[in-house]
Amino acid sequence: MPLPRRRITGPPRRGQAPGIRRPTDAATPSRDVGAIYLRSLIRAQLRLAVVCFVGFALTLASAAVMIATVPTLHETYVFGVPWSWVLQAYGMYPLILAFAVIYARGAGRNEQRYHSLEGRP
Amino acid sequence: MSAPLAIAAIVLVLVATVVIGFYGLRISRTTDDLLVASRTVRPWMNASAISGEYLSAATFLGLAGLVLLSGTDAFWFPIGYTAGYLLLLLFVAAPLRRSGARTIPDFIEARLDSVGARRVTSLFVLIIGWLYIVPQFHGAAITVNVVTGLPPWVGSVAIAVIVGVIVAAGGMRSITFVQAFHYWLKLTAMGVPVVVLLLAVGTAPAAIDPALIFPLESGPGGQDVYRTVSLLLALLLGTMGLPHVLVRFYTNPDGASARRTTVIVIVMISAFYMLSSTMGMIGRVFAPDLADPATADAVVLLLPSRLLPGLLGDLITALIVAGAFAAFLATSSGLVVSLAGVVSQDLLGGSVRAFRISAIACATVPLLVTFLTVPGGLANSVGFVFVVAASSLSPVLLLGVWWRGLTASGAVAGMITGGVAAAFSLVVSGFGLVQHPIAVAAVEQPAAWTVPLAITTTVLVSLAHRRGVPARADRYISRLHAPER
Repeated sequence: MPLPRRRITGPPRRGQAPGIRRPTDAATPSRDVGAIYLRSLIRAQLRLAVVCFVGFALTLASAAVMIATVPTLHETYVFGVPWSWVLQAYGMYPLILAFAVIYARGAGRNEQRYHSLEGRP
Repeated sequence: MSAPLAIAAIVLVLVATVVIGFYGLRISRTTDDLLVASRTVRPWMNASAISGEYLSAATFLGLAGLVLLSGTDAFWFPIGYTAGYLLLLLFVAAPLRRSGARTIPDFIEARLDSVGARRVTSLFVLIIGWLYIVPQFHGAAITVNVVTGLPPWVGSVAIAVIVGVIVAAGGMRSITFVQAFHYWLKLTAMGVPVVVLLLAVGTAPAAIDPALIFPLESGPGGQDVYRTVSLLLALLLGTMGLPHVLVRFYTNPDGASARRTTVIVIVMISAFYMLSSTMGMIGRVFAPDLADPATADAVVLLLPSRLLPGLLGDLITALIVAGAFAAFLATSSGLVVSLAGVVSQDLLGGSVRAFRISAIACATVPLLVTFLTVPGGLANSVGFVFVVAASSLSPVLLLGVWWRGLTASGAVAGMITGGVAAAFSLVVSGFGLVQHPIAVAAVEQPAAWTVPLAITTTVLVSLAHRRGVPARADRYISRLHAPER
């Protein structure tokens, strides 16, 4: 009973949807753009943290497996202590520090980029 | 061993602590009106203070004892404690500094806009803090007993009274400088003995068979993969959930300096852990007879007099005793301050008098627990505290900083599920209720399943109550991550 829709409505309006400008865009540009910058900063920080964590976990795991499985490490000694013990006791801390420094630098850089973007008119 | 020298060392540490506390450089870390002053705390000073508070009896005495007892397994403990700060740096250090919250319950309340979630968080902070103080008191009991021959309870009572009185009097409340002093004292008290002992044994002809002292099965090759991974997960995540850690980040001027501070903390505690591990290995060579759960924690105290007869040995022992007492004092007073703050704010209305009463109560409860429990290896009992923290508070903190969908009901459900699961594991393993080796490993090192359980519960319950997402969640999270100008 009801007529098919396309007889009533006009032809499809091409080119409209993507090009629409919202009034808010023109009214409060800085706040909107600032929010976008901030959201991208949060994403960048999370990405950096996850990458650092996964990198650290993989490095630690492979170091631990190497220390545990390479037989020469247990058969050679330094000051009477097997290398495997020495590496396990002292070797992991430099890894932790390295990832900490990499992250702290990266996070600082992300924030700097955010500042320079936000400061732009 | 000379008891008078050791007692003199203990008294000296106490006097120095009180004097620096009352008359030294006063830098507030608790009152908002002194925030401007706290902005002057440099990362190096702040990092010393954080490290001073963090290095507890478990690492000062327990680590070397565990190396003696079980070999390279023990090294994972300090690696985990240090890597815990890496995780803290990666995910929460700067955002939590910017949150303006001084305690975990403050953060949860502000983030989730819920007093109920705050109360549950406070309860967990209290439980974790008390559990963490107990090994400190056990450590004091062992130290006093070993070096003076007095009964063990004297040590625990003495440290409880001192901490309760100092905190109630306000002597430790606002002083970054005291904690910083304790770090350098502890580093000296471990570093000097290690160097002197190494020099002494370097000249002594020790006929040792390395294969006997560092056997293959106690080495890295003999480690259980599940237990190691589970322990590491607990230590890594647990650090950020400890009650006395977050408050220290508040003294940083901004997020960037919170990150710098954390990096320096990693350097400082690593240095201490390397020394302490060395002490454990010296113990394996020269004190294998102490390798028994009842005596291993005393190895650091007994080594110097064995290797260095006479006055030099006594002096070195006195130095170690001083460091050990700095460890008990710094950690337990830091914890009592945090806990008393929570108790007085949540239960008693938050006046100064309420704070004092809470401080006494927060030192008494763990003392009673100390009497009821048997010291079962300091490093391991602290390990359990990390499991509880990692399965209750840490998941909620992490999600609170990064996930806007977190709700109060999700946080409460997650904390309770994780906490109950951890407690259940402790009871089951404590009473030996399971026999199957897989089940035994699962309850002795439960973090590998309790942490995912807590996170899953938190996320699922939050998703089921989407309407519970606080209206300000987006704004609050933006504030956590927006760098200061």
